[in-house]
Amino acid sequence: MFNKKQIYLDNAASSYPKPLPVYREVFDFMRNNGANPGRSGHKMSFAASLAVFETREKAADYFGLSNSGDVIFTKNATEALNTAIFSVFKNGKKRFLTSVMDHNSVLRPLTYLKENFGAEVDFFVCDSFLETVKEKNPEVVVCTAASNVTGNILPFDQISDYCFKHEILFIIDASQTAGYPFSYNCDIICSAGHKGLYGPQGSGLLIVKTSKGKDALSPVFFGGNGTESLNLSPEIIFPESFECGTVNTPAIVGLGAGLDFVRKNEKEIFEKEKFLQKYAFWELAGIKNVTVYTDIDNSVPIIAFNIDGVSSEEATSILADNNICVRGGYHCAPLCHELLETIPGGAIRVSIGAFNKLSDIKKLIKIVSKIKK
Amino acid sequence: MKYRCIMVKSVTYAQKSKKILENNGIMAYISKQNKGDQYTCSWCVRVPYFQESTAVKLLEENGVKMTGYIFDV
Repeated sequence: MFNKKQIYLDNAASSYPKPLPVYREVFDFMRNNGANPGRSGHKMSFAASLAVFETREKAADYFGLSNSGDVIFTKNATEALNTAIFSVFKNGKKRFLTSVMDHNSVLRPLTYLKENFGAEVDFFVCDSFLETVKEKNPEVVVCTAASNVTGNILPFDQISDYCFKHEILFIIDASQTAGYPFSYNCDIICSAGHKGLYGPQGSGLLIVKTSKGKDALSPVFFGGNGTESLNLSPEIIFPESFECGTVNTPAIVGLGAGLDFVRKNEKEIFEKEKFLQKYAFWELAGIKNVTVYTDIDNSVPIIAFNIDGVSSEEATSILADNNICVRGGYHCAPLCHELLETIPGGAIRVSIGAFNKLSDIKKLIKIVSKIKK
Repeated sequence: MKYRCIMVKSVTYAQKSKKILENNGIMAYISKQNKGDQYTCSWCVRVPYFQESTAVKLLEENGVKMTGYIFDV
């Protein structure tokens, strides 16, 4: 596919490579099974159901749930967030607070609800959460745990303390932090499966942590789920009522293997990636015409930066010509770029993964240092 | 041996039931059932008949949603 080996530093978009067992599980399922889980009564369908259940149990264990039925599989974090946001709005929550660091997967559904259905949507900047939440008095706080642009971690412990004290529903987008050693004290977690959890693309999670979260959710799309087929209005059951249609079983079993990998190596992965991030940060900060936006002391292993006089897309194009994969532009996070004052031009984002090496970072620095206006 | 089929509300509950019961020393098998109009496309956990009441109690304690329909197989 590529005539030269690529240095992949775009793990915030999707992690690559995956641990070998992930590929094996996906291939094994597709080659040796392929049945639809939870539908038929034959051995292959049962085996598929069991495989899905086992991943559900692993996800429940990883996120600290006692009931794996509160783990809902989605195709990505965007679907999980849309389901959560539209669902809680449908169930009566109208006032939302989110952060300016959030991704379009949060901003766009909220904007749609505001422009079409009268939802109230307000925004906080990280260090102004308390001031803003007291002023705006939201019913729901939905925000990312860490910026997908800069990697900067939001004060989600402070946010959750406030939300729980004041009975505010708290939804976290954990797409950039899942797979690292964080714990989430919230009502609902939405996450990609294909980033820090090392599952395949096509995997995502909607996780219900509290009874308040559960009461706020109801399905937003409907169809067959293998139960009560004669009933056009069946009772809502977690998780099946939220997994209508055929689930992405190959991606789910692959996610199971990814969860095995991160459960075993989470601390080491984070320490290694932080080391590489710090190395890259200090090298980049030492280059005269480079501006770095990441808070190195409070971030997941992502660095956002710019080279004076060179647009991010131009710079990433040069890096791509040198077989280095990073992302430029606005990263589906327009308000973050407004805050950083990187419009126009965007920023270059380097996002480190478990399989990156110091030599990858050194090559990146070597090329960046040669890019000039 | 005679078995009793405890009908639960979804395949996830069936899988969970099997795990709970086997962790408590009760052999459990999952099957799909179409018993009557009320319980179509339902999932059943089969247990030895003499362990029915223990099984039901365990499942209730662990939050498994059962249909309330139990029958001989």
